Amino acid sequence: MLIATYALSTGSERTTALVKTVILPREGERHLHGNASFTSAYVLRASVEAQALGHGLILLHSHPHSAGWQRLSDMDRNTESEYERVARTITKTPLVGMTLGGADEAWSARFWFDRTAPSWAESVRTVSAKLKVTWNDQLRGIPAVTRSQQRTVSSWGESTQKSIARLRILVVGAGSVGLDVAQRLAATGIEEIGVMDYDAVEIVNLDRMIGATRLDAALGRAKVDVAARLMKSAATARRFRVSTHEVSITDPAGVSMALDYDVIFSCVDRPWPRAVLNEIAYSDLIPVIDGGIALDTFRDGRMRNGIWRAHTLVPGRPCMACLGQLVLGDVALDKNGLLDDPEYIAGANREAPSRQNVAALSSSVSAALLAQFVSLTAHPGGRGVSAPLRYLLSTHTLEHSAAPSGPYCPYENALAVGDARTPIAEQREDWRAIVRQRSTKKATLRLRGLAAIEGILTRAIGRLK
Amino acid sequence: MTAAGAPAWADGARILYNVVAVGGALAGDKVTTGVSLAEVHSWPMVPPHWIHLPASVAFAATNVDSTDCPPGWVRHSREFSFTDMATAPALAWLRHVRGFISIAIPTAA
Ligand SMILES: [Zn+2]
Repeated sequence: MLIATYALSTGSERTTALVKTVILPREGERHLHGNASFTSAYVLRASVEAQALGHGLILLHSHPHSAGWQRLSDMDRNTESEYERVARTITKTPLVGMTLGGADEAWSARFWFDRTAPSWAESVRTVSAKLKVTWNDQLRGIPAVTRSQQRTVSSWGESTQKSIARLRILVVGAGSVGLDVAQRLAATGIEEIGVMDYDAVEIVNLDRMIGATRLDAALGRAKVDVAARLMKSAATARRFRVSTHEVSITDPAGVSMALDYDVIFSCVDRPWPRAVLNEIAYSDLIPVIDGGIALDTFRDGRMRNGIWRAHTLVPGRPCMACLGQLVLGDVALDKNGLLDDPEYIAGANREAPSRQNVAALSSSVSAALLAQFVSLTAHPGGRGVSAPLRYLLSTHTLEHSAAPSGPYCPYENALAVGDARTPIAEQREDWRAIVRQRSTKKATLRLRGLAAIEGILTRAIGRLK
Repeated sequence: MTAAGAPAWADGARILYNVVAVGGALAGDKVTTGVSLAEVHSWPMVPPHWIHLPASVAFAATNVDSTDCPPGWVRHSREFSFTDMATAPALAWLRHVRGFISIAIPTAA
């Protein structure tokens, strides 16, 4: 029997309560004999303390011998219903009830918006080097294992598959790495995947965006639409849903969409979007799997070295800034558009951003990110994600970073603040104009004809069992 | 900023504070400097870029504009490569600004 506090994290469709601090009972606030229920003195004091912190209230209890998602006994229901009004009146937020199934450490949860009946949560996520999720099977049905998933299921077992398949996963950036990651997630059997990118496919992308066609580039199709098509063709889940977000993650609209997801892949390379994702990982406890590649050339143009990195941003692991993978001063430059300004770059003695990349190596980045994902969700060897990794191509060495989290890191110190996060995203018109322009652009008759034929063929193949 | 040793005050679209130069033409002088309010919305997650100074402070090479500046003031573009999370953000920023002011050159006037 314990009371804790929570902060809200509000997405565009989902609301999450982030557990903040435990408020321990004082002497006399707990019944030592008989039925171990909360005393009103404890609930009252905790509500006042939660209110002072700007938090909501959580009543937690356990069913020591039960496993899986727990329902409410009549007695527990009465207790929570009885204190619902006290908590809501004092904290101005709904009471949350949580139950621990002691046999397998499975958490279940519900919101009390009024005293008549609770609104059940869909899942409870615990985030550290391992992501563990307890699913409410009634709200989010157990995915059927399909024939095409035999080899996958034999690799990590049916229960892991049933949990991983239900994760909502967002891929931010549908370029060479994001597109590859998205397709492999779909093939893994994930039921709901989102892709976020406001850009279109161009001819210069075709050497790395494997699966994108010359027709996609000629039509200037949205990268997210190309990703959706390729994911649908790779998907093995019986019910597969892809959400395309033609949005920028640097806009509050993009952030609220991202807050609907359980895991986020950061496949973007600019400082501003990466700062936004770096924040969400800690403020909203959504693991962000990040990485990238840097190719280095000699003066005569030959390759000197290549380095690719992968790391997962979770509490207890250093953020991008602490890793030296995000220079915070560059975020302001990116926001001001100065990173694209040749005059500024020359004046400030900066190196122009390196654009080198080759298809043969970009798949190493997606492979490294996906391995982080498997460690995070399937815990091979009972372990979660590694320390940040980087591979040096010239010397063939894989290094584990020992970079610690800085004591003053503003990102990691804002743990679980939820909606009280410092706004880094900003409403802007530029990316909206790009999306609008694309939607009104008209292609030639020949290209439209080819697109129609392609559509018929894709749909027909999609109907094959 | 107060905790970092430089109490700040609001002035229109700017936040101002005083810094003592440790070198350069202004060595030992208390110089009033500041940042645009619009640049600190995401502080300390995103530090500002532009440093406000009286137009009388001169540098060998610098990019300036006058956004958010009253007459007699300019903003200097100055890269801040803040990567050391073992330093408090306000202190790191103050050191950056002090370092800049300490390379000021004598004015022609
Ligand atoms: Zn950090």
